[in-house]
Amino acid sequence: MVFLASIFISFLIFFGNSYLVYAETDPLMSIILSPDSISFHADSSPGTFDSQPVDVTVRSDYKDWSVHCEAISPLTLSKEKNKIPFERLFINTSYINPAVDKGAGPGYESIDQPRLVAKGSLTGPMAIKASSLKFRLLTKWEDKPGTYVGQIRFTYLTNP
Amino acid sequence: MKKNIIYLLLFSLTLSTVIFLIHKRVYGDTSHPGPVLQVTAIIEPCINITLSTNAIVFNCKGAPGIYNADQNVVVRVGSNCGNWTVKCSATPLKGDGATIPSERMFIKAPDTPNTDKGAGKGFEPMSAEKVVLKGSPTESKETILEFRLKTTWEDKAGTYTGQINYTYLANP
Repeated sequence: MVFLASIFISFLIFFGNSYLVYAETDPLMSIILSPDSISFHADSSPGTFDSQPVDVTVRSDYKDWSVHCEAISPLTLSKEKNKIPFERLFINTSYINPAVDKGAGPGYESIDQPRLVAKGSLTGPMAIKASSLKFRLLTKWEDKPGTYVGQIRFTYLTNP
Repeated sequence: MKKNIIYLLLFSLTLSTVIFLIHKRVYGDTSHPGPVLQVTAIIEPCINITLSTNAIVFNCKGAPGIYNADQNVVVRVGSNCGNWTVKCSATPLKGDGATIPSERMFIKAPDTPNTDKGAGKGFEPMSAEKVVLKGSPTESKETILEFRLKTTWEDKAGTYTGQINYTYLANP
Protein backbone atom coordinates (compact mmCIF):
# COMPACT_ATOMS: atom_id res chain seq x y z
CA MET A 1 0.00 0.00 0.00
CA VAL A 2 2.77 2.37 0.99
CA PHE A 3 4.63 1.42 -2.16
CA LEU A 4 1.65 2.24 -4.35
CA ALA A 5 1.17 5.50 -2.51
CA SER A 6 4.82 6.43 -3.00
CA ILE A 7 4.68 5.66 -6.71
CA PHE A 8 1.48 7.65 -7.06
CA ILE A 9 2.89 10.65 -5.22
CA SER A 10 6.10 10.50 -7.26
CA PHE A 11 4.23 10.46 -10.55
CA LEU A 12 1.97 13.19 -9.31
CA ILE A 13 5.00 15.34 -8.56
CA PHE A 14 6.68 14.43 -11.82
CA PHE A 15 3.73 15.02 -14.12
CA GLY A 16 2.41 17.92 -12.10
CA ASN A 17 5.64 19.80 -12.62
CA SER A 18 6.17 18.60 -16.14
CA TYR A 19 3.19 20.62 -17.23
CA LEU A 20 4.94 23.66 -15.89
CA VAL A 21 8.01 22.68 -17.88
CA TYR A 22 6.18 22.35 -21.13
CA ALA A 23 4.40 25.61 -20.56
CA GLU A 24 7.75 27.40 -20.78
CA THR A 25 8.89 28.86 -24.09
CA ASP A 26 12.60 28.88 -24.90
CA PRO A 27 13.99 32.17 -23.67
CA LEU A 28 16.21 34.11 -26.01
CA MET A 29 19.78 35.08 -25.28
CA SER A 30 21.94 36.67 -27.92
CA ILE A 31 25.43 38.11 -27.56
CA ILE A 32 27.04 40.29 -30.19
CA LEU A 33 30.68 41.29 -30.14
CA SER A 34 31.73 44.42 -31.92
CA PRO A 35 34.22 44.02 -33.47
CA ASP A 36 34.35 40.23 -33.61
CA SER A 37 38.12 40.18 -34.01
CA ILE A 38 40.95 42.12 -32.42
CA SER A 39 44.62 42.57 -33.22
CA PHE A 40 47.74 43.62 -31.39
CA HIS A 41 50.62 45.26 -33.21
CA ALA A 42 53.87 44.91 -31.29
CA ASP A 43 56.07 47.27 -33.26
CA SER A 44 58.59 48.28 -30.61
CA SER A 45 60.56 46.77 -27.76
CA PRO A 46 58.69 44.10 -25.78
CA GLY A 47 56.11 45.39 -23.34
CA THR A 48 52.36 45.88 -23.29
CA PHE A 49 50.28 46.50 -26.39
CA ASP A 50 46.57 47.29 -26.58
CA SER A 51 44.04 46.10 -29.12
CA GLN A 52 40.89 47.94 -30.09
CA PRO A 53 38.12 47.76 -27.42
CA VAL A 54 35.28 45.28 -27.83
CA ASP A 55 31.64 46.12 -27.04
CA VAL A 56 29.43 43.31 -25.78
CA THR A 57 25.77 43.75 -26.69
CA VAL A 58 23.19 41.46 -25.12
CA ARG A 59 19.52 40.76 -25.74
CA SER A 60 18.03 38.45 -23.15
CA ASP A 61 14.70 37.07 -22.00
CA TYR A 62 16.34 35.51 -18.98
CA LYS A 63 15.73 36.92 -15.57
CA ASP A 64 19.40 36.67 -14.66
CA TRP A 65 22.31 36.15 -16.95
CA SER A 66 26.06 36.60 -16.96
CA VAL A 67 28.63 36.52 -19.73
CA HIS A 68 32.12 35.16 -19.24
CA CYS A 69 35.11 34.94 -21.50
CA GLU A 70 38.02 32.59 -21.62
CA ALA A 71 40.89 31.99 -24.03
CA ILE A 72 40.39 28.66 -25.73
CA SER A 73 43.45 28.55 -27.93
CA PRO A 74 46.72 30.27 -27.12
CA LEU A 75 48.21 32.74 -29.53
CA THR A 76 50.18 30.53 -31.88
CA LEU A 77 52.68 31.53 -34.53
CA SER A 78 51.49 30.50 -37.97
CA LYS A 79 52.85 27.12 -39.05
CA GLU A 80 55.14 26.94 -36.04
CA LYS A 81 54.99 25.78 -32.46
CA ASN A 82 55.81 29.11 -30.82
CA LYS A 83 53.03 30.23 -28.53
CA ILE A 84 52.19 33.19 -26.33
CA PRO A 85 50.52 31.69 -23.27
CA PHE A 86 47.11 32.75 -21.96
CA GLU A 87 48.80 34.26 -18.92
CA ARG A 88 50.11 37.09 -21.09
CA LEU A 89 46.76 38.02 -22.60
CA PHE A 90 44.94 40.44 -20.31
CA ILE A 91 41.46 41.89 -20.07
CA ASN A 92 40.01 44.94 -18.41
CA THR A 93 36.34 44.95 -17.43
CA SER A 94 34.26 46.91 -14.98
CA TYR A 95 34.24 43.83 -12.73
CA ILE A 96 37.99 43.88 -12.15
CA ASN A 97 39.41 45.84 -9.27
CA PRO A 98 41.06 48.85 -10.96
CA ALA A 99 43.76 48.92 -8.29
CA VAL A 100 44.99 45.42 -9.02
CA ASP A 101 48.09 45.16 -11.21
CA LYS A 102 48.95 41.65 -12.40
CA GLY A 103 51.85 42.73 -14.59
CA ALA A 104 50.07 44.51 -17.42
CA GLY A 105 48.90 47.65 -15.67
CA PRO A 106 46.19 48.45 -13.13
CA GLY A 107 42.79 46.92 -13.79
CA TYR A 108 44.01 44.16 -16.11
CA GLU A 109 43.83 40.46 -15.33
CA SER A 110 45.03 37.59 -17.47
CA ILE A 111 42.45 35.39 -19.16
CA ASP A 112 44.08 32.16 -18.15
CA GLN A 113 40.74 31.47 -16.43
CA PRO A 114 37.14 32.49 -17.18
CA ARG A 115 36.43 36.14 -16.45
CA LEU A 116 33.09 37.77 -15.84
CA VAL A 117 32.54 40.44 -18.49
CA ALA A 118 28.86 41.33 -18.14
CA LYS A 119 25.74 40.50 -16.19
CA GLY A 120 22.16 41.67 -16.08
CA SER A 121 18.50 40.80 -16.23
CA LEU A 122 15.66 40.95 -18.76
CA THR A 123 16.56 43.37 -21.51
CA GLY A 124 13.21 43.47 -23.25
CA PRO A 125 13.04 43.42 -27.04
CA MET A 126 15.98 45.79 -27.44
CA ALA A 127 19.59 44.69 -27.16
CA ILE A 128 21.68 46.64 -24.68
CA LYS A 129 25.39 47.42 -24.53
CA ALA A 130 26.32 45.30 -21.57
CA SER A 131 30.04 45.91 -21.38
CA SER A 132 33.07 47.42 -23.06
CA LEU A 133 36.19 45.32 -22.90
CA LYS A 134 39.84 46.26 -23.29
CA PHE A 135 42.48 43.72 -24.14
CA ARG A 136 46.22 43.94 -23.60
CA LEU A 137 49.10 41.70 -24.64
CA LEU A 138 52.39 41.43 -22.80
CA THR A 139 55.26 40.52 -25.11
CA LYS A 140 58.72 39.32 -24.23
CA TRP A 141 62.07 39.24 -25.97
CA GLU A 142 61.71 35.51 -26.54
CA ASP A 143 58.54 35.96 -28.62
CA LYS A 144 59.63 35.24 -32.15
CA PRO A 145 58.57 37.88 -34.71
CA GLY A 146 55.57 36.91 -36.81
CA THR A 147 51.79 36.68 -36.79
CA TYR A 148 50.15 34.81 -33.94
CA VAL A 149 46.49 33.79 -33.90
CA GLY A 150 44.21 32.59 -31.12
CA GLN A 151 40.61 32.60 -29.92
CA ILE A 152 38.64 33.82 -26.94
CA ARG A 153 35.31 32.15 -26.31
CA PHE A 154 32.39 33.87 -24.66
CA THR A 155 29.91 31.79 -22.67
CA TYR A 156 26.81 32.72 -20.76
CA LEU A 157 25.10 31.46 -17.67
CA THR A 158 21.36 31.89 -17.29
CA ASN A 159 18.61 31.57 -14.76
CA PRO A 160 15.12 31.62 -16.27
CA MET B 1 8.39 -2.67 9.55
CA LYS B 2 11.26 -3.72 7.29
CA LYS B 3 8.93 -3.66 4.34
CA ASN B 4 7.90 -0.12 5.12
CA ILE B 5 11.53 1.00 5.36
CA ILE B 6 12.22 -0.52 1.96
CA TYR B 7 9.18 1.24 0.51
CA LEU B 8 10.30 4.46 2.09
CA LEU B 9 13.74 4.07 0.55
CA LEU B 10 12.21 3.32 -2.82
CA PHE B 11 10.01 6.37 -2.49
CA SER B 12 13.01 8.56 -1.61
CA LEU B 13 14.94 7.21 -4.58
CA THR B 14 12.07 7.82 -6.97
CA LEU B 15 11.49 11.28 -5.56
CA SER B 16 15.17 12.19 -5.91
CA THR B 17 15.21 11.01 -9.51
CA VAL B 18 12.07 12.95 -10.30
CA ILE B 19 13.38 16.12 -8.67
CA PHE B 20 16.65 15.77 -10.55
CA LEU B 21 14.84 15.32 -13.87
CA ILE B 22 12.53 18.24 -13.21
CA HIS B 23 15.42 20.45 -12.24
CA LYS B 24 17.29 19.46 -15.37
CA ARG B 25 14.26 20.20 -17.54
CA VAL B 26 13.50 23.54 -15.97
CA TYR B 27 17.02 24.90 -15.73
CA GLY B 28 18.85 22.84 -18.34
CA ASP B 29 22.63 23.23 -18.51
CA THR B 30 23.14 26.73 -17.30
CA SER B 31 26.39 27.34 -19.17
CA HIS B 32 26.00 27.95 -22.90
CA PRO B 33 28.64 28.62 -25.54
CA GLY B 34 28.48 32.06 -27.13
CA PRO B 35 30.46 33.89 -29.78
CA VAL B 36 34.18 33.51 -30.35
CA LEU B 37 36.54 36.47 -30.61
CA GLN B 38 39.38 36.01 -33.10
CA VAL B 39 42.69 37.35 -31.80
CA THR B 40 45.71 38.24 -33.90
CA ALA B 41 49.05 39.50 -32.63
CA ILE B 42 51.67 40.79 -35.01
CA ILE B 43 55.12 40.92 -33.49
CA GLU B 44 57.60 42.89 -35.54
CA PRO B 45 61.33 42.11 -35.54
CA CYS B 46 62.94 44.33 -32.96
CA ILE B 47 66.52 45.16 -32.08
CA ASN B 48 67.48 47.68 -29.49
CA ILE B 49 71.04 49.01 -29.40
CA THR B 50 72.19 51.29 -26.61
CA LEU B 51 75.61 52.83 -26.11
CA SER B 52 77.10 53.84 -22.78
CA THR B 53 78.17 57.15 -24.26
CA ASN B 54 77.40 59.14 -27.37
CA ALA B 55 80.88 60.68 -27.71
CA ILE B 56 84.48 59.64 -27.22
CA VAL B 57 87.51 61.92 -27.31
CA PHE B 58 91.15 61.27 -28.18
CA ASN B 59 93.33 63.79 -26.37
CA CYS B 60 96.47 63.77 -28.50
CA LYS B 61 98.60 66.19 -26.51
CA GLY B 62 102.03 64.72 -27.08
CA ALA B 63 104.13 63.60 -29.97
CA PRO B 64 102.43 61.58 -32.71
CA GLY B 65 101.72 58.00 -31.70
CA ILE B 66 98.94 55.83 -30.32
CA TYR B 67 96.27 57.45 -28.15
CA ASN B 68 93.45 55.76 -26.24
CA ALA B 69 89.92 57.15 -26.26
CA ASP B 70 88.91 58.85 -23.02
CA GLN B 71 86.50 56.01 -22.28
CA ASN B 72 85.43 52.59 -23.45
CA VAL B 73 82.05 52.11 -25.07
CA VAL B 74 79.64 49.53 -23.72
CA VAL B 75 77.26 48.29 -26.42
CA ARG B 76 74.04 46.64 -25.18
CA VAL B 77 71.73 44.82 -27.54
CA GLY B 78 68.25 43.41 -27.00
CA SER B 79 66.52 41.53 -29.79
CA ASN B 80 63.66 39.14 -30.47
CA CYS B 81 65.24 37.94 -33.70
CA GLY B 82 66.53 34.43 -34.16
CA ASN B 83 69.94 35.64 -35.30
CA TRP B 84 71.32 39.13 -35.25
CA THR B 85 74.66 40.85 -35.82
CA VAL B 86 75.76 44.35 -34.85
CA LYS B 87 78.53 45.98 -36.84
CA CYS B 88 80.26 49.30 -36.57
CA SER B 89 82.16 51.47 -39.01
CA ALA B 90 83.96 54.79 -38.73
CA THR B 91 83.97 57.86 -40.95
CA PRO B 92 87.23 59.76 -41.47
CA LEU B 93 87.98 62.38 -38.83
CA LYS B 94 87.79 65.81 -40.43
CA GLY B 95 89.48 68.97 -39.20
CA ASP B 96 90.28 72.36 -40.70
CA GLY B 97 91.32 71.33 -44.16
CA ALA B 98 92.75 68.03 -42.99
CA THR B 99 91.52 64.48 -42.58
CA ILE B 100 92.59 61.49 -40.54
CA PRO B 101 91.48 58.36 -42.43
CA SER B 102 89.38 55.77 -40.66
CA GLU B 103 92.08 53.12 -41.04
CA ARG B 104 94.06 54.99 -38.38
CA MET B 105 91.26 54.56 -35.89
CA PHE B 106 91.43 51.17 -34.18
CA ILE B 107 88.90 49.06 -32.32
CA LYS B 108 89.24 46.21 -29.89
CA ALA B 109 86.40 43.94 -28.82
CA PRO B 110 86.79 41.08 -26.30
CA ASP B 111 86.78 38.48 -29.06
CA THR B 112 89.03 40.17 -31.64
CA PRO B 113 92.21 38.24 -32.53
CA ASN B 114 95.15 39.11 -30.32
CA THR B 115 97.36 40.27 -33.16
CA ASP B 116 99.11 43.62 -33.50
CA LYS B 117 98.06 45.56 -36.59
CA GLY B 118 99.89 48.74 -35.71
CA ALA B 119 98.11 49.95 -32.59
CA GLY B 120 98.74 47.21 -30.06
CA LYS B 121 97.57 43.62 -29.60
CA GLY B 122 93.91 43.01 -30.34
CA PHE B 123 93.31 46.36 -32.01
CA GLU B 124 92.07 46.27 -35.59
CA PRO B 125 91.94 49.20 -38.03
CA MET B 126 88.45 50.52 -38.77
CA SER B 127 89.03 50.60 -42.49
CA ALA B 128 85.97 48.40 -42.96
CA GLU B 129 82.86 47.40 -41.02
CA LYS B 130 83.62 45.33 -37.92
CA VAL B 131 81.30 42.84 -36.26
CA VAL B 132 81.13 43.79 -32.60
CA LEU B 133 78.38 41.52 -31.28
CA LYS B 134 76.12 38.74 -32.48
CA GLY B 135 73.51 36.56 -30.84
CA SER B 136 70.01 35.10 -30.60
CA PRO B 137 66.80 36.33 -28.90
CA THR B 138 67.79 38.04 -25.70
CA GLU B 139 66.74 40.83 -23.44
CA SER B 140 70.28 42.12 -23.14
CA LYS B 141 73.70 41.16 -24.35
CA GLU B 142 76.66 43.49 -24.11
CA THR B 143 80.24 43.99 -25.12
CA ILE B 144 82.94 46.52 -24.27
CA LEU B 145 84.76 48.28 -27.09
CA GLU B 146 88.10 50.05 -26.80
CA PHE B 147 89.22 52.63 -29.35
CA ARG B 148 92.63 53.96 -30.28
CA LEU B 149 93.83 56.60 -32.70
CA LYS B 150 97.18 56.62 -34.42
CA THR B 151 98.52 60.09 -35.25
CA THR B 152 101.44 61.06 -37.48
CA TRP B 153 103.56 64.16 -37.95
CA GLU B 154 101.49 64.99 -41.04
CA ASP B 155 98.32 65.50 -39.00
CA LYS B 156 97.77 69.21 -38.73
CA ALA B 157 97.07 70.45 -35.20
CA GLY B 158 93.41 71.09 -34.51
CA THR B 159 90.13 69.45 -33.65
CA TYR B 160 88.91 66.59 -35.82
CA THR B 161 85.45 65.11 -35.68
CA GLY B 162 83.85 62.03 -37.17
CA GLN B 163 81.33 59.34 -36.47
CA ILE B 164 81.24 55.70 -35.53
CA ASN B 165 78.07 54.18 -36.92
CA TYR B 166 76.40 51.06 -35.59
CA THR B 167 74.26 48.93 -37.87
CA TYR B 168 72.55 45.59 -37.44
CA LEU B 169 71.48 42.64 -39.49
CA ALA B 170 68.61 40.52 -38.19
CA ASN B 171 67.06 37.27 -39.28
CA PRO B 172 63.66 36.67 -37.61
